[in-house]
Amino acid sequence: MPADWKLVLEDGTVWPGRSFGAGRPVTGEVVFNTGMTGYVEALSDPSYRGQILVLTYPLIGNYGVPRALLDTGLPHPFESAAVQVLGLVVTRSEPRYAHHAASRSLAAWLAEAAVPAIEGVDTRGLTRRLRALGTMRGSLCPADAPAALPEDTLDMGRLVPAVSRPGVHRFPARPDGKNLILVDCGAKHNILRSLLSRGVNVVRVPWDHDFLAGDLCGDGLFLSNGPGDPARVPELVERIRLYLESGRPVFGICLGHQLLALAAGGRTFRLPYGHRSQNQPVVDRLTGRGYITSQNHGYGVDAARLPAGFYEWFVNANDGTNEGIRHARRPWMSVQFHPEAYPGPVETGVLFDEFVQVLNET
Amino acid sequence: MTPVRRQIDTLAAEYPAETNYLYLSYDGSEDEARMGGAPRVLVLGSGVYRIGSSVEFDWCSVNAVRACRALGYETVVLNHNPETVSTDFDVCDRLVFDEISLETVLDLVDIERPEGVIVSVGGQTSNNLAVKLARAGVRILGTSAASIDRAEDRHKFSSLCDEVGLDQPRWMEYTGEQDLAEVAARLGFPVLVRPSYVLSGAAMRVVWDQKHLESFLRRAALVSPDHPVVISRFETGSKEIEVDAVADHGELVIWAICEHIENAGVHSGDATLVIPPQKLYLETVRRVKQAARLLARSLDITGPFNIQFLAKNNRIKVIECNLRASRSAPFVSKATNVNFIDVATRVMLGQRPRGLENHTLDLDYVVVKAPQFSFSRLTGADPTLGVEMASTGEVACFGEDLYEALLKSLAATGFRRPRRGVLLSIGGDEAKGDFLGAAGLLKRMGLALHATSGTAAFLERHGLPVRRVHKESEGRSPSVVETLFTGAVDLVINIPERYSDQESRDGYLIRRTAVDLGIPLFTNSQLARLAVKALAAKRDDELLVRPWSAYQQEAVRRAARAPERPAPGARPAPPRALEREA
Repeated sequence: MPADWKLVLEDGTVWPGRSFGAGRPVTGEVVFNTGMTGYVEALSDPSYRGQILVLTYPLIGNYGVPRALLDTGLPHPFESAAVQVLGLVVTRSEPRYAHHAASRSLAAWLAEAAVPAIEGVDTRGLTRRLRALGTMRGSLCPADAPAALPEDTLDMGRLVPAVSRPGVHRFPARPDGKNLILVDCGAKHNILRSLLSRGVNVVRVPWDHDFLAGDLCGDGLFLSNGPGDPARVPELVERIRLYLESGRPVFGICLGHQLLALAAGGRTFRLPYGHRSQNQPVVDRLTGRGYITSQNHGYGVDAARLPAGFYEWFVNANDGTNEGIRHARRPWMSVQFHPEAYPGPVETGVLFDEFVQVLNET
Repeated sequence: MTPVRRQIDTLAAEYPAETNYLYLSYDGSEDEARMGGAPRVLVLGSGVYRIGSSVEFDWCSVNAVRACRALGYETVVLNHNPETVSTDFDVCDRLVFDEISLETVLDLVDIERPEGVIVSVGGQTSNNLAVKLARAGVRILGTSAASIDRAEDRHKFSSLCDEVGLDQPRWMEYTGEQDLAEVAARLGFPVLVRPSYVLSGAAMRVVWDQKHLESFLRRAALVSPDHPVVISRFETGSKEIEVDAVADHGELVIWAICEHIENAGVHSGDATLVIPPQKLYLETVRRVKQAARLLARSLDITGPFNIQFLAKNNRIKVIECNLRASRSAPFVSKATNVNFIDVATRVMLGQRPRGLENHTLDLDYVVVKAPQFSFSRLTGADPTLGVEMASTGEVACFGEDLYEALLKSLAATGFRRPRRGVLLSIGGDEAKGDFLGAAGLLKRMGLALHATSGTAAFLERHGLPVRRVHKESEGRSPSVVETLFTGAVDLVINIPERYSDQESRDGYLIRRTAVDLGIPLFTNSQLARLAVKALAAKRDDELLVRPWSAYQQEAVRRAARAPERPAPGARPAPPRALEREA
């Protein structure tokens, strides 16, 4: 089949391929993920909003896209209600899917969601380039489109408002359970599932909701994952800073980790090409114990400028970047990786246990 | 259209992969391999392990690579078996983990532009590519593809043997058009039936009469002028001899001669090999060496080769000649302390080593290579030896004499000295007669003898009382299987009457039960007799466990002392290892 579509990168390189999915031109940040499975979870992860995702695993779509099963009121195994990525780049999209739960092909799902995709691209070569030169902007467009990159389809910095769901939602788990405020910056469903299954009542609020008002009766605060630059949501950072004064437990994941660090007085920075895979090794600095984790982030917390009173909890064994911080005396902790997994290894799920225990004891 | 080399990389390029562990892909947009500046050699490996092509060829590949590197070449290995040492990333400069096929090799030659390709150390798979590669203009290092073809092609090889005056077992190519009865009459039974291009004894069968020949050809072979079946005279009662050697432009550089303990008819991969030979006439050895010289010269061999001979009454016949490293190359290298593959590789690269000492008959020790079988894990398989290879491994041991070396090798393959009783079931009068002496030895060793009806009657007639047990088909107690289950027997000697006699259910039940109960089993008359003699001659505590280097150092010390011994002008003594066959 001839190439009818292309990926153009900021550095001028052109990666020809064939269009599948929606066939709509888009422009955004191009990032790669090295996971071998879990494309349904990854594509529905709000942290990918605004990004063109390159999957390095060469065969994608083999098991199709499943029917949504309702699990604690949330569609399983989807991480949100929509396809979140701006575009998708694969070596080969498999139209003949086979799985007992599959209801449609990957291409059909993307087309329904109006998300464009391209196949036939040397994703390994592309990844080597992104890895060497850092994350770049890129455009998915027809083969005959002009070489110059158009403007980004979405504002790449301030994406949290775009993914945060409006309205306050209460997810009861147990009448005698603690009440936790989940600040939705693009929370993956599995964070909710992980908390509910541990008997915590969750109140999900939008990113800009005033959770300091006190009407929510929150016993603690949970800062979710999400897309973009944490420094671009200063109003949320400020609100978290004020919440910390209450001394109540706080837990953050991914973007939530960065937000907690900023609120407590730390610094964040942009990683050259981010961490996006399901085999990121992290080490617990207190115990020396290693974990394999699922990750998806382009920004990190500066370990050299940790906020006062915090120590480095986890560190990445590959590149030494910070993977978690924890306050020495207060019940405040956050991790850069995803203990809720989905996709990826579930071994750091114990952190939810730990936080729920802290929550229950305060 | 040329593929690119990509790195095998468990992190999917998230972190730069450092190993030169590559595969070929038509899908890539860039080549990822790091190239050095030195001239390159491409070595074809052995591919998947299977019965008949295993770790011995991997040893050959690795040693060829080491020799190339020692000579300053950059080495590229093509192999796709992760179990091998040649696919360890630090063995060669670049490992290409891909199939060993014409297409892959040609692509790789386009990319790598090597000085040449070594096809003779990876076994038959890579050797089979020689002619096609040469036709495509690839430079084969060592012996020319034309010579390889001349040795592989039965017709060409036959006429070569005729030309130089070497005898071969009679053979014919049957295409389905000739009269089978006439073919059989010309060759005489028994005959060996096999496909025309030999691949590790696949689909071979010994057939003893016209009826079975017809039924076998009907069942097991597609016979046509395009797919002829080779039918050759099967020589019974012959000894089998193997020569492993290296030649340089037709001149013999080093050689080693191994003797099979089993008579011809057991696949060379399943045979028990001895070096130096213990029971060959000097004249046979001389003729074998002469034949090796002749073939080396007429095939203009440069590199490793292997010849298999039949020997009977000083007459030798050539069974086959492979212009590549053979399965026994590592064995003879260890036994003679000369690395045949290292020498062969240097020769193929035009750098013949000087001052090589070649010991094959005058070794100060005996080395035995015994096959290791996996019958206990192959449920239902008939544990018997034949023209198809069945062993899955091998063990070689050194000893002061044949008995010590044999007992150590057998022990290493799981054999245990019998303490209680031996079950004898020997087919055929000749074999029974042959075994009489060994049966007496077993008795004298204080072992209880159990024997099946025919064997028992024979032994009793010759004054050896035994406990009679019944074959299963006799339907009487005590049966063989019952006896084996009592634990009274810790060695079974079952000699099937014919090599292909796999139909006999009684024999099968004896052998299978022995294997299933973990009782040591001999199915070959020559090996069984030799093992009994060895058991009688050596106690287990007389078997010395010594490192390989101890044998080599001793040999060096003896060699240093050797010139003092013979008086000036004395005729050189015949090699110690040779004795006349009784």
